[in-house]
Amino acid sequence: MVSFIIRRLVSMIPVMLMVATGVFLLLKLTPGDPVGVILGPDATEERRQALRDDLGLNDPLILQYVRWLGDAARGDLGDSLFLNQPVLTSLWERAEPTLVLTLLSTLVALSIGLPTGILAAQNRGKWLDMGSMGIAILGISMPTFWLGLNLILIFAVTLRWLPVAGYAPLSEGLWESLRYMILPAITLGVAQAALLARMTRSMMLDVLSAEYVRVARAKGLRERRVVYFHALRNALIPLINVAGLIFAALLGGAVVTEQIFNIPGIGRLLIQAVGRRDVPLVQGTVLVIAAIYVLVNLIVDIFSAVLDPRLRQT
Amino acid sequence: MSSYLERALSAKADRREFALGAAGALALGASGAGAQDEISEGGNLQIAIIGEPPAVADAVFTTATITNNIAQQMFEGLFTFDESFNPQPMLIEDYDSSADGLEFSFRLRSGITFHNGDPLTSADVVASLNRWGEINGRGRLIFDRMNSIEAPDETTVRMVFDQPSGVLPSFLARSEAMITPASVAEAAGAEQIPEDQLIGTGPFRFEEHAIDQYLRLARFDDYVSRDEESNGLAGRRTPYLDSIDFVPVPDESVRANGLITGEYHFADVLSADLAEMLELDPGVESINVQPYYWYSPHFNKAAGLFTNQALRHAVQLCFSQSESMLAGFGREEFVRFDASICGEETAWYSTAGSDAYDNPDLDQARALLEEGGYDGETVRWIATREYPYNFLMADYIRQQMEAIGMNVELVVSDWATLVQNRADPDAYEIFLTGHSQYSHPATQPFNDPTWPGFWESEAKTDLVNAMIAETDPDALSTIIDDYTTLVWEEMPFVKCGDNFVLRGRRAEVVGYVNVPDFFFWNVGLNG
Repeated sequence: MVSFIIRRLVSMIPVMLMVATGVFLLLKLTPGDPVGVILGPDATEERRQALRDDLGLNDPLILQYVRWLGDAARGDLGDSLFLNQPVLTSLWERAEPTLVLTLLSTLVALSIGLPTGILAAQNRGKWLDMGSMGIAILGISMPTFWLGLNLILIFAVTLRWLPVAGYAPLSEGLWESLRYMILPAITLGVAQAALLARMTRSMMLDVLSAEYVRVARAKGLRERRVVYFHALRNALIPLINVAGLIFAALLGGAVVTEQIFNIPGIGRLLIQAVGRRDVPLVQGTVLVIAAIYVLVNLIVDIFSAVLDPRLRQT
Repeated sequence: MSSYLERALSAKADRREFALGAAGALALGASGAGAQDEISEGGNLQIAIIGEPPAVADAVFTTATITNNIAQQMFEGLFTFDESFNPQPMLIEDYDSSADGLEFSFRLRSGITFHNGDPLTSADVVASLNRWGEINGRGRLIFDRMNSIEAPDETTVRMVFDQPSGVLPSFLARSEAMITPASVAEAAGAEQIPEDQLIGTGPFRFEEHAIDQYLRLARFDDYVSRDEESNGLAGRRTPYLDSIDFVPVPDESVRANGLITGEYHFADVLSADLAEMLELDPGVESINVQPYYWYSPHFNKAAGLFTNQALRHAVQLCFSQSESMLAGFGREEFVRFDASICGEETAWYSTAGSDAYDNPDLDQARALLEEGGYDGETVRWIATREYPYNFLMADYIRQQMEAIGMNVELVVSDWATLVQNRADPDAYEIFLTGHSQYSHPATQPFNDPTWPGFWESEAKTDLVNAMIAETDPDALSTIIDDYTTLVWEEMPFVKCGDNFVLRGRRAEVVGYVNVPDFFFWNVGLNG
């Protein structure tokens, strides 16, 4: 197991290097002037040039790349051009809102998606199956911004039960923080729940038609025990993979949801950084998101390996 | 539904706010004074702004409007603007200037302290203005004409110019000519002032900044106000509020919804489409900010087709300027059709050029195309959808240009790309942007021939120099008339019209005065 983990960690290095190079080149090939955004519309050309020099934006591309990569290897992702603070500080400040949103949305997704998928599989072909899967397709197809705006209109503007947007840190109290997170967590969680429900149904159906399930039934076990003890455990392995990917995707920043609900998270940070051509901030954020993806995948693989001994040998 | 809408609108019509015109100023001034008596102290004001300001509140460092607006709550200059945009003394008691506009001597008010407790001295003013002259475009314009700036004693600042500079008070009244302690100005230089050094003399002081969450200013308890009746940004300034939070809310529907639910007390820059929604809510007052910005397509005059003046005129004649404004901004109450490059609320308003404005003539436009030797070359118009008006106006004018036989390609990108491309004379023929209606014409960026569009003109340079030099208001008006005439003759850009911006405030916000650069002294939260 230890060698499995070490192997996977070492394989992260080329992945991260490729991501770093790709992002750097992509940003440098994209036109756009961070200095124009920082200095405002009336700044003189002379002043813009001076700031470009100060920020090292006029240096040769290869020099900028080597300098950035060298710093990144030492754990220094540079300073944000616009926010005037270290990139790591920017990311750290936004980690809490994004983490809270991710956990809550995953909770919403799991608590709706899993039972719905199991129920649908148990009732294959019946109205409960067709109805829940129809709703699931609706959930997957519904644009996040549309659902978010409607939730705001109903629960915040009309009923005034919850705030329109914003974020309260956990330090201000759990309930205060949750009040702001309920609508965005539902917005994000619903689409993922729909995906999870369809995946769960399909995995459960595969497993429920397996021979050992037939044997379990033939032994006279109660249906509930067959489904939850024998079938679900095996269906969980691929589902953990899906849940892990959902978690990683959400942790990488839910751009649209964070924008609509004005949550100062990683997604909003990234989209604004792109708009401002805040190159070090975009590079650093994408690198961190890539690292999160790789690490979450690793954790998922470890979990899967624990659950399924066959995987450890491959 | 429509009758409900009408009732609601008519009920609110008289409460809708418009900017102070010269005639309305007295009436509103009086009601403002009445309201002041009732304003209670304390409270935290939540203001939804369009995004995180660059350089936080250092208005010398950046020319971004949002930074300027925040800075003026904390920093003050030697002058400020009254409601007619005339410069009025702020940190100075009085000043002398020679009739030839070459010498100025300013006497500072006594007893003023910075937020850190240090007294304001003339050395602070000299250091701050030196920084302004070094890194700010308009400051540089003044300092290029200056012979010396010195502090002969603790309360006097003396400036001597090589060329007459009667415009000086108007430049010093802008929020970018802000005064900080000498140590802050000298340490910052060309860099932006660090947050913990944002020290001014204004009614509010910097308290805390959580990036992308809020920028909190707190009342400056030792603030020394002027005694005159408040008038625009000038006169008495009383900080009633305990604190102000500027909350970056990039999505305008969130700003509007938050205003309706009371999460924000004030929302900046809302789409005109939201006006009706705000009107329907009894807890919200909509604010139509006049004057605000005017909009124009700028021709690239450094390279390509539009180095030819006849072709610039052809474009101006092929479309209705008023229609282009409606295409961009939609609602008539938020646009004004006017040829002047300064709003009619200002002393710099001019009716010169009115004949040419909004007078399309397709035959003449075609004749000018021929005269200019146009041969089907592609006109690259760089536009962005990031600001809807920018694309909508460009698209409308493109259709009109194509109707007279021009070949136009709209090159659409995001704003950051547009800003980069417009600085490159080989990258485009036309771009469109907005300019302040309430700025002295000499302070407009397009007077600088290196600014995108690249307006190089001897006649313009002479007139701008004359505007900067002039001390007599009547003579200045004549120069501005000549300048406006020149704009319509040389056609460096086509002035399409004025746009007013929509803001909103909660009804419990009292004492607010509708000016383009908002301020929150003399403002309180009642109820």
